[in-house]
Amino acid sequence: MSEERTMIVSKIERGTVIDKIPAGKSLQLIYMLHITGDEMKTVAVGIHVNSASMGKKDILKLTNRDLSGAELNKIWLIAPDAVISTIKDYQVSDKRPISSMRSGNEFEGVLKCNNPTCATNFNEPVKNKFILMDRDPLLVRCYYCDRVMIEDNIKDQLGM
Amino acid sequence: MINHIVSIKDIDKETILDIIQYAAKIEANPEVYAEKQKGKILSTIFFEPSTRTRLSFESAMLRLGGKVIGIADPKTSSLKKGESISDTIRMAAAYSDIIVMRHFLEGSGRVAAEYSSVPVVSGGTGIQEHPTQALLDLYTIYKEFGRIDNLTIGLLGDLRYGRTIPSLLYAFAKFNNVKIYLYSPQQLRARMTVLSDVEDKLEYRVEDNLEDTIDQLDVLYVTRVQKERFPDEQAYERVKGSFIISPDTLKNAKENMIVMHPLPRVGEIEYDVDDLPQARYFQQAKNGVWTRMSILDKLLEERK
Repeated sequence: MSEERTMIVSKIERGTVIDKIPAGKSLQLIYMLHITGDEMKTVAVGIHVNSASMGKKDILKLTNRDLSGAELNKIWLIAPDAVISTIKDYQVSDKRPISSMRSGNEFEGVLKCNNPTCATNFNEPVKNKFILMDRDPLLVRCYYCDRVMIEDNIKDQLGM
Repeated sequence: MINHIVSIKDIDKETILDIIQYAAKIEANPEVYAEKQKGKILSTIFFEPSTRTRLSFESAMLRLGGKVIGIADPKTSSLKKGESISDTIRMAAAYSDIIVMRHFLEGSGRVAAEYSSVPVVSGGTGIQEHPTQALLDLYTIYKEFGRIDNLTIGLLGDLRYGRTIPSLLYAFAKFNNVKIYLYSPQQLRARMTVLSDVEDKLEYRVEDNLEDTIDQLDVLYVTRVQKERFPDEQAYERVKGSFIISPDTLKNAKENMIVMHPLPRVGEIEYDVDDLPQARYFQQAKNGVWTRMSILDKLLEERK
């Protein structure tokens, strides 16, 4: 039995498993997904778990929790190779790499533009949209005003 | 072709050439196009003052046989009351067949395009871009040299806040072997984000001294250095002199070099330069009408 199976308690009845998170990044994801511990839902966190393909990885098991499109975008920013499994009745009902659940380098619903004179900050009915330019360090560009935001700005907004 | 013109980044080289070559055709025989857009209406929505851009778009539409409605003074319209860009544009799209909008916010062009059912042309969006100014500048250069490729262009003045500069750099980056020399006070250098967009496609150099390199230029493009951009009057006074073009500045320039300026100028090109063979800024302003006729006609035809 692998270390993961022995460590991450029992199977969950219903919920979501986020696997193949880069080692050490799961706590950031927990913050970004607003998992505070107050929801009375079981969360299992594996940090630096042995992985055949990654050497070390992190894994999150969230009971009774689904992910929204915006949350998928957040996970994709931090863990582009993550694999998302949906669990129903203790069985994996769906298992897909996050890269197949969204397309392109554009993403919505995660960040606000930090350019004070960007039109998206002025009561327009638009969704903020960004283009990922680089991941290490994170670098994104506002689709509307072209402002580039660096990792520090992004982390501030995401509460990382 | 494209549905809107809000950024030069959205337009490929073929489309740019198509627009400027069509502008040349219109300029050669404007009477042929005099009724081309009869019955069509252009809305000019200017959230920020403009003389040249608005007038030349209006002139362009009238010369195509169309009509013009518009808001020239934001103080007298609902724009003052804080109406959103999206609502204003939806209204304008209901009243007209094509819209030209200038707005002081970056990103306003893309917001407008998203909410418009008719083509939107940016007349400038904050410090972000001024795509049609760049297109008419390219037309001016093309008329002079018959090409955009293989030219050396000097951009001088406020390269940081001048909204035409990013549009020009994005446009030049689509052509081959264009060399760019950038001359500006240190605090007004081109934005890193803009330069990093073009660095793989364009050879550019930040130059300190125009005098030493002016003999290499085919085009010297001058922009306004505004006093408001400096922390104090003295800082402005210190650098201002280095960015004023006089006949003496041009003494080592190539004979067929041209001096351009988007206008209005406030002293950065001396009046004595106007009569020199290199001065091209007034023709450049006139080229704005042909280029904007080309843009309006192409966008309107695309929808037929």
